[in-house]
Amino acid sequence: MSSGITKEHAEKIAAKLEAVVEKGDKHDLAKIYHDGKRIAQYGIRRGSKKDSSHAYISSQIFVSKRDCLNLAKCPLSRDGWIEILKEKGKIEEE
Amino acid sequence: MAIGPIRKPGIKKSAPKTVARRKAALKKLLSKSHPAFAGRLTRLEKLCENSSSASVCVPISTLAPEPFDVIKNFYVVVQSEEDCYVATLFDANISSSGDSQEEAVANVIDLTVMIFRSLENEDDSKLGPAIVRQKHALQSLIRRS
Repeated sequence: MSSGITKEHAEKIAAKLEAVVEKGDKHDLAKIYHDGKRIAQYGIRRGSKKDSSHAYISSQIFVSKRDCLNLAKCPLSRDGWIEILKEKGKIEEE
Repeated sequence: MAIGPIRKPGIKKSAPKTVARRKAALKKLLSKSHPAFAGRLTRLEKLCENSSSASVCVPISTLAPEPFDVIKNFYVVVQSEEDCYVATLFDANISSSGDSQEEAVANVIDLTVMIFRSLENEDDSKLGPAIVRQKHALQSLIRRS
């Protein structure tokens, strides 16, 4: 069992960030859009258990593990995440 | 059926503290009788400790059976994390995980191919800077056969 970011968290984050999920054989690809542009994406392992570790997701969405868990567990909103990405230069300011 | 550790009948498993004490006593004896061996043993023990948490670099030269060619060999880095292994293609910032190192590598290759397919016909103007970099990095590494 994982103590960190799990598949369940990965799915919650995808829903929170309004990701478009593309189904694949081994992975679902969560594609996240902002202003009509794809700004981040990550794979969710298909067939793995709900508590299987998806620790790598934080780097795929350019945040710390703590912020990643905050996204899954509520304190961090989609807008808050967008602000973090702007600060890091991962998306352009409108 | 779960298979436990194999033990010889009649031999009791020692408590960890007892094992540690016996190990220390044996090392003390060894350092007196064969000091060179004792030094090598210590170095080997440190190497074993480090190797369990170390990163492994896996060269990728083919994506078979996927219909893609590798333009130039690339490396996937596998790291032990929490209770799994995370494999990352740092060139394109793509990661996946697995219960074993082999599974993690297979998963990151699968995800790499999936992302390449998803990006190959996408116009750069519809992608954020990080995804544009990812697309170009992938196009420099792999192509359709």
